[in-house]
Amino acid sequence: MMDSKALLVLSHVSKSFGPRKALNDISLTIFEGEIIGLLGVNGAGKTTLSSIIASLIPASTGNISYQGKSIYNQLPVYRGIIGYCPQKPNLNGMLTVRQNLERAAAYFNMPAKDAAAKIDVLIEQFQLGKYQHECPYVLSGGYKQRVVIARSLLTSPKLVILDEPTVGLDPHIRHQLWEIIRDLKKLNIAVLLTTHYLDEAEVLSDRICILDEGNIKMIDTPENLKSTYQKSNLESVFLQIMNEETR
Amino acid sequence: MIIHYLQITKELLITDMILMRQKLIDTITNTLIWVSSTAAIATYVLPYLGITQAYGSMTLIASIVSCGVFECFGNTSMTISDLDGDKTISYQLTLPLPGWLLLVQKALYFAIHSALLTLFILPVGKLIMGNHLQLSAIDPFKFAVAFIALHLMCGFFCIIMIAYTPTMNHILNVWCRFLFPLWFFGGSQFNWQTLKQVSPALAYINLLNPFTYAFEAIKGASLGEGLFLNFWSCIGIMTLFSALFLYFGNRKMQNRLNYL
Repeated sequence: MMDSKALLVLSHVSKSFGPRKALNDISLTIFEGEIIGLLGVNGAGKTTLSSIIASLIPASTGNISYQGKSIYNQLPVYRGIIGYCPQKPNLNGMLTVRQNLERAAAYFNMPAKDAAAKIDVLIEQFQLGKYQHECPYVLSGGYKQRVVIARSLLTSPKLVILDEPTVGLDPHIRHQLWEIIRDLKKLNIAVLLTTHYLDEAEVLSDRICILDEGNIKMIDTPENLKSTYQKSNLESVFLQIMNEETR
Repeated sequence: MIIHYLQITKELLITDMILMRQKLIDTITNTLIWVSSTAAIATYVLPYLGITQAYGSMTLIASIVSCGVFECFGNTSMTISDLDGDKTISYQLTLPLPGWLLLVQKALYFAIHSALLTLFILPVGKLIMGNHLQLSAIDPFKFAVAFIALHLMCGFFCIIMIAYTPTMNHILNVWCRFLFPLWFFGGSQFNWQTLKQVSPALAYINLLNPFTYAFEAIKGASLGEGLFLNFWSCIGIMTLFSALFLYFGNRKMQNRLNYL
């Protein structure tokens, strides 16, 4: 990964909600085209970190740089290169799938013709053809996630933030989404994948970042983590790290 | 950058319009049924109880404000329900647009929505009330100014209501404890001078009520200014209230949603 170009640099990012510290001095570099898995138990700070990177909420202290400049000084530019897919698909339930995509394209000032062509491609790619004129409330969780991911790709982002995209989905739907995530990497799109599923993180991620109580506990490739801890899978590594923390 | 922001604001408004179109006819019909019934009773029945026929005209004109106030309740409920449920706003907050401008866009949409609903009140009222409603008494310019200022104020009022209503469970409390008294004491069925004659103290307290100015301005533009508070002062104060609603609404929403 070190050969890749840095896309986003987080320096000493902290976040507090009142007296509660959700993130503590997080420094992390996200490289172009890498899939970085964000792991941690409930309350570890995964969603807070992904929301800060998505610029949905501000950091209390610290900075995030894109192309050497703070994202907070170039928010409109930065928001044009990220796609954010929250855990709960935040689609407009009263618009059809196609309208949701069309409106998103309009917000980014895409010419109607280009938008229509891109939407056609995405609808094909995500197998949404038969649902494109349906409202999202008739879709299953997996299809809603597909629409949200498709929407995030409309602007050709450089970073897609997926906050627990497969939670509560059937195994075969999860595997379909894995393929979609792998396809993003093929397009040189970096992916920040927040997940509870260790198998998912292991098979998809180039690097794993383990968060614990708002601190980065470990960042490394799945292979290095397994060899360092002499374990056969990421789940055993994760359990050992967490057990060490409990002791 | 400003053009870029205006472009997104316009597209967000178009999205809201697309959604509004799905139920606009129904909402206008509902509004007109309510207004027609009120105007018919006030014009043809209440005079037999000793109330003057001018009361019918005043009620009809006041219903333009009343509908705006009632729409505040509808718009607040819809937005709170989104915050509790789909959270489409969390997507809009990741668009290349400052959070406060998103609130301005929402307020503009609410204003356009309530303006559209009340656009047909006068023509329909004239059909029902006939000669009892003197359209020639209306100052078209002042009426247009009052109409726009009133709906803009209602739009920004929605923002502060949304900001201070924690969940859908609290929405009825907001209506009963807050919105209804503001509307009723605002002057839906009387003018400020009458209230002052009855209770000067209550009348002066009522000058803190933003809807007092909305009722007085629209009635002043439609029924002659002498009976009501100074028209341009009302417009100025309504503009000030709109700005305050946006400022405090944005502050509270920023605490609540923690956006940039």
